[in-house]
Formats: sequence, C-alpha cells, structure tokens
Amino acid sequence: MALTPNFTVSITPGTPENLLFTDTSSGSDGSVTQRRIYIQKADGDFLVESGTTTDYEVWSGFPGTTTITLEDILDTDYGCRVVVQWLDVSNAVLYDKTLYYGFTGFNEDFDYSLTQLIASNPLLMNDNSFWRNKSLLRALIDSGNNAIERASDIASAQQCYDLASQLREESVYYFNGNE
Amino acid sequence: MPTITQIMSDYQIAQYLAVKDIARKRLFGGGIDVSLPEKIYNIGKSIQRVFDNNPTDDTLYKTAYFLYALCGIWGLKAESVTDTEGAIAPVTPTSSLPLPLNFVVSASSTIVTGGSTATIASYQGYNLLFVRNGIAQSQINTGGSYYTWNRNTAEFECFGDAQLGEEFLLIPIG
Repeated sequence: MALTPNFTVSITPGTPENLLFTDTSSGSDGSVTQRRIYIQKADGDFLVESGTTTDYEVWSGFPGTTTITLEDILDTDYGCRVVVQWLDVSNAVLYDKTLYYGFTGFNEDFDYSLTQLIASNPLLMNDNSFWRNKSLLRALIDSGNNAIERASDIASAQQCYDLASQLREESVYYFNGNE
Repeated sequence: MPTITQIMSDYQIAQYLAVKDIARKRLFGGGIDVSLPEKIYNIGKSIQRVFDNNPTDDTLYKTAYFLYALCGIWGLKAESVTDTEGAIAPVTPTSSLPLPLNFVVSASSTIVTGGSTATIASYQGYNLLFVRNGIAQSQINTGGSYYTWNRNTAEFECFGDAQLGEEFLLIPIG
C-alpha cells in the first residue's frame, strides 16, 4: 500500500519561536526510513535549528514518531514554503509534500498582548493612535495570511508580516500603553 | 453572564448585528460607534487564537469579558440568536436494500424454464414481494399460483413452475 504523504505545522500561543510538525500521512510504505524538513523563506534562505549544518532538519523515527518540535527556529514572523520529504535508506526521495505557511506567532502574540492592555484599560480604545495602529497590525497579519492562503505568495506575505513586525518591534512609538 | 465559550461563539454574530444597526440608522450610525464592528472583529480575532489553543487559559477571563462588554446590546441579541437557532433534519440516507430482480424466464434466467426454486443470498433478512406476469402473488395457497419465501435461508419457491417467456419480478422489502 502506497503512502499518501501529508503534514501540518502549528505554533502554540506563547512560544512563537517553536514549530510543531505533525505527520498526518495515511497508508504505509516499508521502504521509507527517514524524513527531511525544508523551511524556505521568501528570500530563498532555509530556516534550521541552531547547530544544523544542512538546509534541512532530519525528522527521524518514521513511522512511529509522528510529531517533532523544532525549537528556536523562528526569530520573527515569516511566510514560508515548507517541504517534507519521505526517503529510503539510500536517500532517494520517495514522496514529498509542499505546503505554504504564514508563521505569525510573534505578531499574533503581540496583538493579544495589546488586547490584554485594552481590557485592563478600556480608555485606550479612544486613543486614536493606539487603536489605529492595532487595527493596522491586524490588517497586516490578515493580509499576509490571505497572500498565502489565496495565492501561495510568500513574498507578498513577507512584506505584510515585515510591516506588522515593524509595529511590534517599535511598539514604543506606535502604542502608548500608559494612557 | 455567558460563559467564555458562549462569548467566543457569539461575538461574530454581534459583529454583523452591529453592522446592520449602524447601516439602518444611516447618518453617523444613529450615534453608534461606526467602527464598533471592526473593533469587535479585531479584539475577537486576537482572543480567538488563544481560546482555540486553550479554552481555559487564565487570561481569557479578562479579555473575553471585555469583548462581551464591547459587544454591548448586540452581544445580548447574539445570545438570543444562538438560543433560538434551529436545525435542519438530516436527509434520509440512501436505501441499502438490494435492487429488485426482474427477468423473463428462459433456460439461463435466475429461475430456469420448468424450475421453481432459487436461493437469493443478497435478499437474506428481507421480506419479498413476487410479481408474476404483472400480477402480485400471494403466499397463500388458494389453488392457483403462489410462492413461499424464507428470509432466514433466502430460499424462494414459486408454485406453478416457471414457463418460458413469463416475466418474474422479485422485490425485496425492508
């Protein structure tokens, strides 16, 4: 029975730097002995964990191990092309699957922190600068996500995420939390 | 007070109810904050992600109830929408009955010329209606043609042997 390859990637709120991969393939293939994960950014570079010397991460333990967490692999939000390969013992690729993801954990966490700030101090809602920028932040995250979901366009998504990240990284200028 | 789960279910309804009210009141939204739907969306979306990951996250109490307060009367209206919503009855599933058997008696038909019995395994467990030459048959022997059917063994027998050219119709009934 052939393997139907598939996988998902998720980020847990509060740990935006980590990626959790889950192998959701169905079927089986005794020839498969290893998996590789490629995470390519819009500029062409590959994201790997610290200390990894290849362009990919090894996902061992097929088929028993269905999840792997890549730790500290993100330092900001990225639109990425993610490829998982299923290989045999001689490193021949038997199956592969490509998916496009927007990893927006940093800006989503930041947006939630702004929501918590407003919940603590509802008058911030009337601060035009604060609210306008929070609204812009949401629009930029959503726009980037749309670029990926509708067109698999990680370059456009990255532009949106970078603008959102700018709001987060220079938040002291955009969000006055002491209203 | 609604639960956090209920708030997360209702806020999207409150959002469109607010849009409708603002549109209906036309000039300046009748005094309603015209950016309220956007605010509900913005705040709700950020909370939704945390709620989806962990509905018991301890920060949700504060943020979700703030969202509820933000929704105002449209939050209350949203509750009544979800309370009164109905459900559509499911479509009757496709019948699992096997198809009827319809044939003209011949030397190679299910019941051959001169024959009278057949075992129809696919009809086992069902009742059976037998129509012979367009006439529904009885299982009672009144002197003419009739039939017997054992749904446990799936054995069929017609009385009055099958004659060449007769039309037989066997219909399984659930």
